Formats: sequence, C-alpha cells, structure tokens
Amino acid sequence: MRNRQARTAYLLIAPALLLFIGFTAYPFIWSAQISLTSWDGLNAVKKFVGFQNYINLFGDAEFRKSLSVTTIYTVSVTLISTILGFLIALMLQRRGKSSVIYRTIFFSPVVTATVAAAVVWQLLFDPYVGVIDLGLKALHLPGPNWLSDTHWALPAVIIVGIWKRLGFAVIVYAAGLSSLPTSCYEAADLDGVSGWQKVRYMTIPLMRPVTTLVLITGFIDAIQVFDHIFILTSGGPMGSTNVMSLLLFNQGFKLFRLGYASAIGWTLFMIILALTMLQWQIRRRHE
Amino acid sequence: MMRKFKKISLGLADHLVLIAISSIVILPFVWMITTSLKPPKLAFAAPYLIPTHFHWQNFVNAWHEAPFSRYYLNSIIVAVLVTFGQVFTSALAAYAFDRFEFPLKKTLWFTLLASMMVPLPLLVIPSFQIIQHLHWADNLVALIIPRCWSAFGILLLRQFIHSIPRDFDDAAKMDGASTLRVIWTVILPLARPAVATLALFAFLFAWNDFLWPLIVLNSPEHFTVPLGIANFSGKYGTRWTLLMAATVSATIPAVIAFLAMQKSLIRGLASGGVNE
Repeated sequence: MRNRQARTAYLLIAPALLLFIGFTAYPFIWSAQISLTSWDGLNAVKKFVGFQNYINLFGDAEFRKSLSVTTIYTVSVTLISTILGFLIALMLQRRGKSSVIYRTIFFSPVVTATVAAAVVWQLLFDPYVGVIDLGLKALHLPGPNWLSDTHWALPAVIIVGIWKRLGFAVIVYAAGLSSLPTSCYEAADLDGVSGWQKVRYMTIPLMRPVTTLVLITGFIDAIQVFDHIFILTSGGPMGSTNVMSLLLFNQGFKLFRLGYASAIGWTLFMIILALTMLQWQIRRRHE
Repeated sequence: MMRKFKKISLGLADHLVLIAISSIVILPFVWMITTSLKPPKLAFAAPYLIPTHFHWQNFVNAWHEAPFSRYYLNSIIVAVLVTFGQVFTSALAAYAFDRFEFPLKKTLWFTLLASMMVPLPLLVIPSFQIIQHLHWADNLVALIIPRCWSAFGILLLRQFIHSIPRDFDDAAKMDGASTLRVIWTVILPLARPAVATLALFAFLFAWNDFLWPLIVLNSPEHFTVPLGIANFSGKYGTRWTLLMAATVSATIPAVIAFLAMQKSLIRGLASGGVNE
C-alpha cells in the first residue's frame, strides 16, 4: 500500500520534477561549473580557471560600478514604492467606491508589458518633445537631457521602476489593512487616540509581516531588473545605469565571456540568498 | 465644530494627493494614446492632451510596417500553452505533496521552494546552451516547454488543496475514480480561485517575458509582442506617432483584458501576500 502510494505520488510529481531538473536544477549547477572556466560557448574545451573569474570580477571597475548602480536602483525603487504604497493604501482605506478606480489606475502599470511601457517613457523623457521637460520648462526649471546625462539617467530608470512596482505594494498593503481587526481601532477612538498615533503605534507594527514581504520580494525583483533599462539606456551613458543583469547579458551574449557572465550570475544569486536568509531571521525573531 | 472641519479637509487633502499621484501614473498611457492619434507634423504642437485631428493613418502605417497580428498570435500561443502547462503540472504535483507520503518528500519540497531564489539572468546562459543542443533555438517551443512548471504554482495550489477535506477524495474513490480523475473532476473545480490566480500569473509572466525571448529568438516571424515592440522602436527610433500607434496596439488590448480580470488577480496577489 505504502509502496503504491509512493509510486502514484512520483508519477504525479514527475512532469513538474522533470522540467525542474532539466530547466532549473541542471542549468543552475552547470552555471556554477561554467563560472569556474574561461569558456566562450563555442570552443569544445572548457579551460578550468578556478575562482579567477570571481577574483577578476571584484577587481573590475565596470563590475564595481555595476554593483553600486544595482544597489542604488534596488534600494531606491523598493523603499520608495513601499512607503508610497503604504501611504496610498492608508488613504484608500477610508474610501468606498472611488478606491476601486484608484486601485485600477495604480495597478495598470503592473499589467502593462514593461518593454512597451519603456518605449513610451522614452518619449516622455525626450529633452525636446517629452512632456516631462516641457512641464519643467513651463515652470522655468531646467529640463535635463534625462537619458543621456550621466547624473539623470539612473534617476530616470528608477522613476520607471517605481511606476511599475507601486501598484503591487498598494494592493498587498490594501489587503493587509482590510484584514486588521476594527475593534482595536474603535477602542482607540473611544480613548481619543489621534489618527497619526493610530498609524504610528498600531497600524505600522501590525503591518510588519506585510512590510517584510513587500520589501523582500521588492528587493529580489528589482535586483534582477533588465527590461526597461535595456530599452531606455542599454546601461549607458558611461555605465551609469549598467545594472548587473545588463552587464551579465552583454558579457555573456555580446562578448561571449560565459565564465565571467556566470560568475556575475552567481554573485547575484548569493545576494538574493543572503536577503532571503535575512527575511527568515526577521520572521523567526517575531514568532 | 473645529474637529469636524479638520476631518473634512483631511479627506479633501487625501483626495488631492491621490488624484495627483494617479495622474502621474496614468500620464504615460494618456500621452501614448494622444500621440498615436496625432498627425506626425503636429505631434508636439499644442493642444497637447486632446488631438484636434484624429489621424488613424498612424495605426494603418504601424501595422503595415510590422506584423503585429503575428506578434500577437505568437504571444497568445506561448502564454496560453504556458498557462495550461503550469496549471496541469502544478495541480498534479501539489496534490501529491498534500495527500501522499513518499520518500524524499521533505527534501524535494524544500528544493522546489529554494529554487524560487535563483535569478533568471543566471539561468539564461546554460539554458541557452541546452536549447541549442535540443535544436529549439529560434523556436517558440523554447519559450513554452521550460516554462511549463512553477514552484510558486505548486506552493499556491498545495495551500489551497490542503483546505479541501479528504472526504471529497474518498467519496469519489468509492465510486471507483482514479487519482487523476479525482484531481480533475473533484479537486480542480473546488480549487478554482487558486487555479485562476495561478493562471493569471502564468499568463502575465509569459506575456511580458523579454530577456529569454530576446536571447532565444532571431526571426521576426517568431517574435512575441515585447520583442516586436523592442525591434520596432530600434527601427523607427523617433517617429513617435508611428511608434506610439505600435505601442498602443501592443498594450491597450492586453491591459484592458487584465484589468477586466483584475478582481481575481488582485485577490490572488493579496492572499499570496498576506497568508505568507
């Protein structure tokens, strides 16, 4: 009986398991091996170089720049979209019907193909005909040449990243807020607690698990960003938006330095692993 | 009296803030539609928001310059098959993980969950080699088969199946139904909310996917919508009216379809987030 059960179970898991092994587990392990070679993808011989790719990586000014660009991008997009998402969800909480319209608006970037949205943002950021600079000029402010200025390209792609991410934070926070017990708030009202105090001492602590989730999934999402930066700047100008996924793509698929590109990929994985473990630690502390 | 006044003005301030932020959020959509409808020569002349002439010719030209119907067809084929594939493999696996005991169950479960941490950019390098060995390069199969499983899907469906009492399975089994039949006729209909959420996520992901198709596909006749748009924008760089007609074609129908289904999508997102 037990045996039969195990056989049935394995048959049921088989389709997912085989795809997992073939297209996730195997490439994952293989990429670790590639990262220890100087393979170009064409040569049959894969020269073993040990940890040389990783050593080169941290001595490479381009990679160090990419690491800092990725960090600035990831932290800004995640923090700003989370804080803004929380505040918007708080405001929506008190609205009835109109909140549906707002939610739909905030959610529409989430369901728009990033590549297509990026093409539109390219027009919005245009220094001559773009609506952003037209607006700034109307206010007698200098309109930067967003996408070709080393100082403004990163803020520009961060704006698009926030625009894309905001709706997710709003929806998750809105759901979290709606599941809070109303009785505590009614009690607080009777005690004459002010609105701000309720947010500060009740809502924010109660929402901590949701906040951890929004932050961690946001970090993991943002750290792998590729699509809209590829369209808007391709990493330029002067590497000012050259995030790690773009560097990996260029090293792997333009310069065919597969070993080096795989080492970048593994560094990315290590960062995600560290962040996830951090999340576990935080959750354990709160339980 | 003072207190009441304060409350009302606070509500109004909230509304103003919300209107301001949502205007910024929808600005790209508005600007895209407006520009797509303007004659090329008047594209950036006032009035900015509402075109005075509706120049539908942009759309005719855009569809003439690039086979958007082809891109749509490719994207739909990929997204639909990936969606069915993920629902199918996840339902079977989720049922097995919830209802059966078998060797290595815990290890396998942990491994599947841990795989969600692997970044996609890391996988594309060896995956592309695998695809070439299989002779799937420049073929839609390469976008479909590797994506027909989902750790998130198995997790989501297992959580839901766990809440379905085993009595339902037993009753069907008494009637002589096989395990597959139980999953198909009893479990899946009961797990509809979770299945709908998974289906929407799978579809959305496949529809938006860019990096992997960019690496795998070469021939324009195999392009999906995002790839077609990227290609179009590279070719017609600053012919903005034409380009916006193309992006409107590529986004608006999909956005409307997704927003129409947003209730279950949002419910799924929210439950995934809160129950975590």
